[in-house]
Amino acid sequence: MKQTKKSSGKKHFLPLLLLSVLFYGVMLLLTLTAKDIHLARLPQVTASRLGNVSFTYLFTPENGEPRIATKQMPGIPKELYDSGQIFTVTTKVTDEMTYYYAKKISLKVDSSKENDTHYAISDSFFRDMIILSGYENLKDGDEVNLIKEEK
Amino acid sequence: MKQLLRFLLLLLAAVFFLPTLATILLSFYPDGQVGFSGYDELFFDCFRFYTMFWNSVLYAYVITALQLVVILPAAFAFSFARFKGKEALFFFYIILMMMPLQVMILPNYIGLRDMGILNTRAGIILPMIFSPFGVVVLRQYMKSMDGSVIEAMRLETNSMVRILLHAVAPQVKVCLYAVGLFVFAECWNMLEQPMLLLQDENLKTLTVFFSDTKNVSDQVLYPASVVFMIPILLLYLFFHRELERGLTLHETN
Repeated sequence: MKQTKKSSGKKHFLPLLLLSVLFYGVMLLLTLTAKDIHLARLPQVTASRLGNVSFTYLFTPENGEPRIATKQMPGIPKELYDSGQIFTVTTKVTDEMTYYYAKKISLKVDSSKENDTHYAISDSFFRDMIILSGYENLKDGDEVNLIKEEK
Repeated sequence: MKQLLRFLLLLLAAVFFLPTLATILLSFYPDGQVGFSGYDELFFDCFRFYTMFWNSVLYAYVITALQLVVILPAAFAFSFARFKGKEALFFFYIILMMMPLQVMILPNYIGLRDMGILNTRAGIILPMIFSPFGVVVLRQYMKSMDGSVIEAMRLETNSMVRILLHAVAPQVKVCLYAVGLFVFAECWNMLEQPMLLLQDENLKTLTVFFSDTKNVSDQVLYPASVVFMIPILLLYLFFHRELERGLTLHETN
């Protein structure tokens, strides 16, 4: 009887050992890869601060003849503005990692100033990070993976 | 009558098993829909869980291993050594074992603070190594041990370490497994020590994770509970025979 119990115990030892190794192995693997998997499943976006773009426009000085002027102003790509999907990036820093979230905003553009690719924005002090690619399916408050951050 | 008793005992076992079963089932039913979204959120959105899980693993295994190293010679001394005040000291040990943790935590806190190891891993591990429970249980078990083997070993060597390892340890192996399992379970479930002795979130254990309901979403609590059960369950499956024998052999002897 004792012999049977002992051999039955030995019989269970190997599967249990394998199960334990498997459990701790999976936990270790998840620990090492969970952040990467989390980031890979998020919308991949690039973001940048809106840079100054050169705009040519018709300028009429007081009591003078209208003339063409050029001005450097922050501009937003036309394709992005027309899509209506304008998002800034907000961050939340925790002990584990920095989380990035998309926040939907509305920007006013100066309709008199545009070039082939950009609209000038009215608020010349606007310095937030704007999502420039990967915005197509975003919703307000979505977590994103900021793969490229251009200053 | 026997069958009725059996049915009642089975019913009682089912009542005890019900919370565990509910936890397992609810872990697959997080948002009112059956699925793995709770596990998904736990594994891929909740990174604190891993830090705390490995902290629990580290504390439980290290404390268990070190405590087994400490209790074997301590119990041996209480059983076989002849020194003045042995019984009084053992009585003190039993009193210490009876003390509730809440009473001991403040002196522990002050001691650890004065030693400068508050808010460190050592601050958790060190006081737990010298828990009296294992010594008391093992001492009682050693009383029924065959002393002739030790006497025979003494003729061969004067080394206490060799006697402990070759004559005592094999005889109390079953009890050591049982005590080890209890100690592991105690360490795995400890809550007060990490909550009070640790401030650094990166040093805290899974039990703190469960108590931190403000920062942990409800959706991950049940899946986390299931994962929390697995190490202790695996260890129990490894040593359940030894646990049963360790708890009953002493009485049989």
